[in-house]
Amino acid sequence: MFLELKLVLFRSIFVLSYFLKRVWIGLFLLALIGCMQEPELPKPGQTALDQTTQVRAWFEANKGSLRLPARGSSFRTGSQELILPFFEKEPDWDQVHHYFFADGREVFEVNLENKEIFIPSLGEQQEDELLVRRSIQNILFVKHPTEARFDPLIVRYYPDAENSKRDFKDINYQMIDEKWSGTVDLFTYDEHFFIGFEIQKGRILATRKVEVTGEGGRRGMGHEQLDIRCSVTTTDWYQVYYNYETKRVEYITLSPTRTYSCAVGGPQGEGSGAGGNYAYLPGDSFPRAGGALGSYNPPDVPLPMLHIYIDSSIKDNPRLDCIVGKLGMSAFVNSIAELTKIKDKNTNSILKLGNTKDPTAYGETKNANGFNEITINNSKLDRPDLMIARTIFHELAHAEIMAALKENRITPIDGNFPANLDLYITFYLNTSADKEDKDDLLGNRQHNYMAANLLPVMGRGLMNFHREQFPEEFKQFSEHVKDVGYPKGLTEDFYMNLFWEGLETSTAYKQMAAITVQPPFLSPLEKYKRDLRSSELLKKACGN
Amino acid sequence: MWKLILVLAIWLAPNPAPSDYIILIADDCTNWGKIDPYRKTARYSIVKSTPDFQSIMLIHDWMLPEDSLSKINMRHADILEQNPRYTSELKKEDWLKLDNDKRKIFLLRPDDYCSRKRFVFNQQFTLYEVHLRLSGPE
Repeated sequence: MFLELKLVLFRSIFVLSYFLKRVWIGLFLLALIGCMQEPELPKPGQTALDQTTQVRAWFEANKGSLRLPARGSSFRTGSQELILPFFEKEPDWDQVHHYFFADGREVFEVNLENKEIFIPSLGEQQEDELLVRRSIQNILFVKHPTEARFDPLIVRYYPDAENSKRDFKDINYQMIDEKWSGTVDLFTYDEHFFIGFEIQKGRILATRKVEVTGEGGRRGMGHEQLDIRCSVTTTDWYQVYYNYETKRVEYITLSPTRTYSCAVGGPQGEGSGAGGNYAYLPGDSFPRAGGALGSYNPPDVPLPMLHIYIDSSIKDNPRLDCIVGKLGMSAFVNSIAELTKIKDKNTNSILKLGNTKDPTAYGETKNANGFNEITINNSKLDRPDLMIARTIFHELAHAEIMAALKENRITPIDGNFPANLDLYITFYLNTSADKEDKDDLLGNRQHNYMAANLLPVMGRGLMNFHREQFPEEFKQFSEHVKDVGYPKGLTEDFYMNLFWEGLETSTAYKQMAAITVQPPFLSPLEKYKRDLRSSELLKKACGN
Repeated sequence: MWKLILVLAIWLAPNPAPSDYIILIADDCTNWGKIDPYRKTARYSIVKSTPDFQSIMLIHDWMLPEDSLSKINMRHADILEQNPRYTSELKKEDWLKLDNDKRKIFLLRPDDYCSRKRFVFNQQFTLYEVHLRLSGPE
């Protein structure tokens, strides 16, 4: 018995010493690894360069197969689709714009070194020569969201006049300044016409579809021809290239084309269903979502998102400038708009300080020809910073609804936007009622929509904004409201309640106001008024 | 003792000059309702709706002690001498002007004005400094 115990003890000591030896060796190795130099991390500046190298490598490996299958390369086809003669593209990899579409896809826009370009003729040779000099042609590489490829498109900028001439660095597909006027045409890599936009002073006025006129210039009436929002013009196209033998620029006349320019929201817009993007479809159809085309899928492209120019009336007011500056960092605002102090984007909205039509209004949003004008009432500024921010949230929601309607797209603030939206908008867009009435109708119906669908997302957005941008005040106020209806501190309900103001004409508000409760409980309407009162105690300190 | 000194100091503090403030008498007493009526505090806020404004709020409340609003005591006859404004008579433009007026506003509460205290000789009323809040469409 004693011997057995002794044996077990010896074995245990042996196993323990063996185990400890291994642990010491392990620790020694760990210490050794710890002393070794870590591999060098990539430097931030190298990232974009590395990515461009990846795009370049992908392009070099795949450029031979970037042709739409079985469509030939002739200028004319039976479908009247405009297909220009193909030429090998030579990207200048030193001139690259790197940005993202609103849906998150990464884009590399590279200038083409080619001396060859196509232009829609202006009618006079001298004017055409000037147009060639001021035109820019780039190749867009749109990174596929799931696959390892960079689908290319060709983008050509045709400025209307010399004052819209830009260097490569000053213009790209998501950065067209407010002074630029002209035409932007997109082609597939092998020169099938895709979609075009007519732009005047940074605003998209119309989409373009170009097709060949066909034999004798006759063809059946398409829906685009019947649409009163479209105008039709005939244009000659030229292929312009530098002849190295004669050392002269040569012009080759291509057959005439018919261009349909449709006000934004016309046939092209109606077809741009998926995410508000325009997708390439060959033949007679207008571009719309979908359409896989074998090995090469021309990527769909978006219209620009809300690009809101901050007017000098805001910039010159330190307090408003401060509030708007903070709003620019709000995730809610960023999801629908880009606030910019420089009109070098696709400005489609303006935020300004001024008089509103109704002097009692905190703010108003007007839409004229697709351009949103948001005005904050300059006689209603003696309010807390948060409440001015709330007004801007509210007006931005109006602007976003209008933009989403015009572009026939969904919106990040409501994933179920089309289904949730009343049919009123269709009425609004298709009636020729008195403008005053239309404005009122539009406002009321949008308020109905906002009250029924957007309060939670706007409330959450405003709460996050308050917590992140005014952290001290948020903390103090959260303590204060513990005695005023929120024993655990501020919640989203408080911020949602603030948004009822301005929505009093909505059905949802009337339903909310009709709810009664037994004292000492407060009804929803009483809580709303209580919270409005509490909000009045907040500060007006931004910019001071 | 210090409390007594504080009370005396407040009591003896000179009232602001009449030109520095506006007295508002909430004479349309039944139109005004108390905001958050069950809240137990000295803070006091009332609200009413008009065709021009979804809500007109008169708020005697604050978040931080340093932002606290004052009160003054005055006899009814003295109040009348200060050319007070009666809320029942104010039109849309008057409210807007009042909203942009930089002077302080002191309120004679509707439950005081519409009480029998008004008919008691030499009765002192407490006037509450208030913030005016006009709701507006967006």
